[in-house]
Amino acid sequence: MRCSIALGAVCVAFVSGCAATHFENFPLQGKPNNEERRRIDDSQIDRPQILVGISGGGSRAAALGWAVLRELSQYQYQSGGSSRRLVDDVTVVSSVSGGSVIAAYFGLYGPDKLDAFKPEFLAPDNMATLERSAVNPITWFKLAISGASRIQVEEDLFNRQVFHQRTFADLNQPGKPFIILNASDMASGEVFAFTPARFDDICSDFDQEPIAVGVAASAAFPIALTPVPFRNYSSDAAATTSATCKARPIPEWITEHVTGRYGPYLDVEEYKRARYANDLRHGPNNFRQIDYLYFMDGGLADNVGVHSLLSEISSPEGISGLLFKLNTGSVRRVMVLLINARSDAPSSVSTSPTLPGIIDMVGSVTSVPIDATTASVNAQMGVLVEQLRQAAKGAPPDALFGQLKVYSIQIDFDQLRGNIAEQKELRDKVKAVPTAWTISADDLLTVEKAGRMLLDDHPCFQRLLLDLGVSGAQFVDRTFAETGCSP
Amino acid sequence: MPKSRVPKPPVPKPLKPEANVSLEFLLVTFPEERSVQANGSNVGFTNHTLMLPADEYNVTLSGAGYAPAAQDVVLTGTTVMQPRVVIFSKP
Repeated sequence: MRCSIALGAVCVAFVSGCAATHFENFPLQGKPNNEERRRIDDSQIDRPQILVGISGGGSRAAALGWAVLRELSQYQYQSGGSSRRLVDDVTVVSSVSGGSVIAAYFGLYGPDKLDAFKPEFLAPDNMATLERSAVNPITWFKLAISGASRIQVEEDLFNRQVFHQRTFADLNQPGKPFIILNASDMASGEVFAFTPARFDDICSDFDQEPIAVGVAASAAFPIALTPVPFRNYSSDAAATTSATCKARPIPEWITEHVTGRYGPYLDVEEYKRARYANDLRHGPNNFRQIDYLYFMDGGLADNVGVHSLLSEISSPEGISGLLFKLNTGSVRRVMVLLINARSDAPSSVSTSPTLPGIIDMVGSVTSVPIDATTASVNAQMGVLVEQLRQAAKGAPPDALFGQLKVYSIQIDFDQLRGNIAEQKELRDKVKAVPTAWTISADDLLTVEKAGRMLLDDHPCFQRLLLDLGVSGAQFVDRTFAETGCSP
Repeated sequence: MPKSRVPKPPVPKPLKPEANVSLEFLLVTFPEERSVQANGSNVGFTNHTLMLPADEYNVTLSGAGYAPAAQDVVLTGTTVMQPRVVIFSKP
């Protein structure tokens, strides 16, 4: 089977290499900017706003995100005179790679269709489907004619199984959560978040973009898959660049950051973010000439999508406007839920006297930097959460954020403890679930169990349930929750 | 003769640990309530302490009838109890 996939990949690469590149985005026409139709629902001040990050990790990550979202749907509380599920309070989902499949599915179909994700995506043998497509000569010629590449096979899978040619217009609707799929820009290493604002930068139509392309861009693991190609319609090199694109002014926040005297010293990351937006827009004094973009797996830059969540919480330019809501006191409860499906199967390297071979080294080179970067970015979220808590606790009477409570929850298989027999067994099993687009029924049960256990056992989740007066959660231990979590 | 030990005052714990995102605090005053804009984005209301990441901002108010028209503010080194105060007035 491996030979047939490899042969198929070679054939696809050879044949598709003969055609012009098939760019997968569309120019923005007839309007200067994409419309953001989603809003934070702050009609009930006691409701939590739940921000979720879902990591990469193939179907293991999709399954873990799915299990945790389903668990959120089990808990109800009273708000504004009616009963409400916690899953209805999910406001922002930022995702990477495998996590993007469940994130986009959740945004598209909503909490009530979560159960259908299992038969539609988790249960089928998706790898077998991919393998059949890869060795099928019809696929080669279809790709050759269209100028598409290997990533198209993955996009076709996503479309066939779950997204059915739906576009981002279906996600960008009032009442929907903000779903932010994150890819990595191959040339700059920057996070490219699929948002209306980012599409403004490249003068591309957000609503017209197929969801499957966004998910594939977020999940385009390098070498195995080709990058997803986009044309930058803000570039003069784009023949279809409209007069509207060329005449647009550069937004004030970009100009202020790239020309300000102090910005690069106070927050170099924010300065670089503005510089990247300026480059995408072909603004003055650009750092890079960006006419085309090639997207690879978002996990290369940040494997839990934390960058986009940090922006949503603390940046004035966040697409959800959450910072304004925090500063005006209309949001008083925030739950940050980071779901990391990192696997870590026992390696024979540390028990073998033989020098590791090239396959072991390639494995380390691809996984160690991703894990290290993710840990670093996760730590930044921890620091931001702590700053928000301290600000609320020390707030003067005039500040409207004085009653803010932040519940920070990280789901990570490493939290399963080795000194508890049940958890040790679960940990060893779940960390060995492979990264692929197929997950066995047994592995799926294991991931589900781990996800539910890690969420329910977290002191900040228990504290949120206590503070909201959720009934029926018998596992909540008040002392444990109040000792382990100070929101 | 050994010097008697004088207990050192406790060192205050830093409010802001090292991080890429560092929260700062801004108080924009004006005789009436207006939206405060930082680099063109709404970030809160006048006369209420606001949280913002450390950075340089062009601060304006919503609507007309205030002066000056904009103020360049470098937001660093503040605390929640000692925010950077920016004053706008009616012309």
